Amino acid sequence: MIVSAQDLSLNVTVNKNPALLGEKILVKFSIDENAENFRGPNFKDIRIVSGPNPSTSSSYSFVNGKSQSKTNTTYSYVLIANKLGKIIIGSATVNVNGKTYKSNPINIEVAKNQNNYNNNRSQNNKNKEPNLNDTQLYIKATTNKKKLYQGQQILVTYKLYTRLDLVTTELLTNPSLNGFWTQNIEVNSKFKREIINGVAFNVAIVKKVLLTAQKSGDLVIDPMEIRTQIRVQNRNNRRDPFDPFSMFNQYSTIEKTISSKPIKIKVEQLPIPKPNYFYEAVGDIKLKTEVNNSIVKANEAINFKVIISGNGNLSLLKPFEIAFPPDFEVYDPKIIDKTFSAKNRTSGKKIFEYLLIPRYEGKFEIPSIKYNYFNPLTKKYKSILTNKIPIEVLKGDEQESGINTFLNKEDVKLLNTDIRYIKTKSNLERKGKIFFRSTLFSILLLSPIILFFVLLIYFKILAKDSANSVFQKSRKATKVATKRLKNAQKHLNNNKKEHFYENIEKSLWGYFSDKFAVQIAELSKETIIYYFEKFYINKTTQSQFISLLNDCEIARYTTSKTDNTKMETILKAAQKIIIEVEEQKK
Amino acid sequence: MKKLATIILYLISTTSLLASETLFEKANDYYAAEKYEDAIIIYDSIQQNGLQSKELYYNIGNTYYKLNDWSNAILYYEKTLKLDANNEDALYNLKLVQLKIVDKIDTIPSLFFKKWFNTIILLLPFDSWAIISLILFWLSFILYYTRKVKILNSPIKIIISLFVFFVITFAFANKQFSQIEMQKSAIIFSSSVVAKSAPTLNANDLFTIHSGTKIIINDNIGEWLHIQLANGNKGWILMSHCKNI
Repeated sequence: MIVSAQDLSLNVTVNKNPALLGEKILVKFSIDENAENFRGPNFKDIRIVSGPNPSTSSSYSFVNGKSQSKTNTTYSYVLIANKLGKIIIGSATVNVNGKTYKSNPINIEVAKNQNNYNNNRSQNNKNKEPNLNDTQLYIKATTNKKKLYQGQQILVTYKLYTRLDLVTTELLTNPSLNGFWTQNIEVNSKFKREIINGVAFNVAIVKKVLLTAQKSGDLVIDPMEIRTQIRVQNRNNRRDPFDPFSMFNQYSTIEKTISSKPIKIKVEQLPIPKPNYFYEAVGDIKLKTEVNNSIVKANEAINFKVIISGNGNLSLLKPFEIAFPPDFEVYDPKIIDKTFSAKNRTSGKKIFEYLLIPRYEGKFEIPSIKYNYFNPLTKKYKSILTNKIPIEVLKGDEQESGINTFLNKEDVKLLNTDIRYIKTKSNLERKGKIFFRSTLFSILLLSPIILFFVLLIYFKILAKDSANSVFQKSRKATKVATKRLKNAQKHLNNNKKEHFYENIEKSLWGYFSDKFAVQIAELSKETIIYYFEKFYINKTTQSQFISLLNDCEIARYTTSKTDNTKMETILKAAQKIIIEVEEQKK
Repeated sequence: MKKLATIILYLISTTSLLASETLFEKANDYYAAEKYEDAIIIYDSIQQNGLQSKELYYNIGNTYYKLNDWSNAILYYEKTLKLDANNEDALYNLKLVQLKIVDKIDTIPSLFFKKWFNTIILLLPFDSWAIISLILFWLSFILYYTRKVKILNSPIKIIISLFVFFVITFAFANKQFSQIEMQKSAIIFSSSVVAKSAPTLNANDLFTIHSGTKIIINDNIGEWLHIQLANGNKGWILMSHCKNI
């Protein structure tokens, strides 16, 4: 198999970059073909320990029944840097099948080698302790923010820095991180070389953790403690040329516990007032809703999803209340967490999946959802409004479930019975024929009252009329009396004594009765006195009236001779007394 | 052909009571023959003529029951009961239909004396109470008047008790009238209605009622009715969801 020429290139690899001053560096130039005529680069500030050392390797493989052969040619150098800073290794060239390939130049960073320096010193002062201070081995926790809002995320990285030869490391205390919700991020904890202030360190990321602040205030990121075992050169053991094991005792291990410094972080409260429909979402968030089916039959399930995507405290979000149509049976949502924590934030999707079962036909809608979240970058609340989702529920298949669930025993018995039969006879009547409160009813109700008043008035008038008749009588009294007296005059002329006195008597009694409205039955001399007193008729008139009556009575029943002159005086007296009474009674 | 025949029958039906009575019998025959759709058409035509009776409403209710139209069945049984509150057959059939509908609303149990009071009031239709009260009123008036003009010396105690009975029977008539005639109630016809807290669509949802449920209408504003359920719940619904009894 011949690899096409385009695929070939001369690659350079360096085993240490950055490298230390005085350290051996292995640089390899390799090409996947048999090569010849290697011409190495010009090395500046570098001492060549050995090289170029060519080597070739071949491999055969069978793929799909075909054999493949692979050849690789490598030229390696062992170099030691002489200078601090940047060292450039120039291009090398090689010939393959008559063609020349050129490598790219590469830079190597060269740092101070303190270790060597110390070693040299410790060799000089062998009684001194090996330097194990914090500058050689420490853990450092770093955060990507110093200030954050409640609900916002912060990335904390714990890094182990060492310039010593670590044998083992053991995590003693994992930071508890109170007040935070934590998500670990997977890290590759291989040691890498890093130059810090010109000094090379082996650095490993021990832990990367994404924190979500759950309360406000000054929170502390707890320290991490690691127990390490360090291999150090034995200071007392001199090399004994006669002890064959002396070389194994040159090193011993020391245990040391190191911890990071706690970090204070200020967590701010979310701005107040918090808007309604805010469900503690902080970050950059999108929200949408969807249903699998918007036209269903009654009692068929609908799948309704609320999808929250973006980045922020997604994994902490909980289902919130949604005003589903009241006739929908709603089951607790299934929460699907499709979030992942990477780099310095959590992102992905969180899905709340609701199972809805409409029980009755009709047109419904899942209302639009208002969702507010806080964006820590703009430091403002933002609002999301989803669209309404109309749902049409068609008539379900017969005999809906759940309709007969509330029946008691008696009801169940009744279910199996039939309604009573129709009526065969009917008295149909006009609608709206109501007697109560009708005009006829009102008239009938009010008429007795009206009648009562009418009769009352009628009797009042009648009574008035009767009162009038009394008055008339008294007015007529004199006339009647004079008429009777005239009759008496006739009898006087005819010399009929008895009739004369009778008429005088009648006229007097009649006059009294009419004038004073006295019943005939009540007529007596006592009543005369009573009424005369009542109407202030003077005593003499009173006694004259009575004596006149007495005279008439005596004259009527005595058989004395008729005396014309006496009869005439009595007539005159009667006429006179009537006038007197008439004058006195006004 | 049958349909056409019934329509023609409907068209030629005069407004006379006699014709309506024959229509009623015709519809009953259809019912007996289990031709409920035809029966409904004829029963309806009697109604269209402006006639009513408790038997007519009861029969229509039965026909709708047979057609599995529970809302209409309930509506017509309620109409029967409006004319005759103690109609035993209508009460029995109504109980049966109510098993078929969705809402089972418990009525607020009323106090025992209220129940007794109600049964006494509903012993007679309000028009009968009205006639009795009129007779009592006239009687007490006549006795009082004849006593006053000294024609008949009836004891004053009897007159007063007659007047008291007049007041009571009048109150019965009035109470029943306001219960039956003044109080507007309706039956829900939409399969599912959400009652709102205010007469707007944006108002909060209070409760849901379904077809066949009886409601009492307290008030209305435009298209909206303020309704009350038998269990005392109150809310607003659109007029179009129900039919008046």
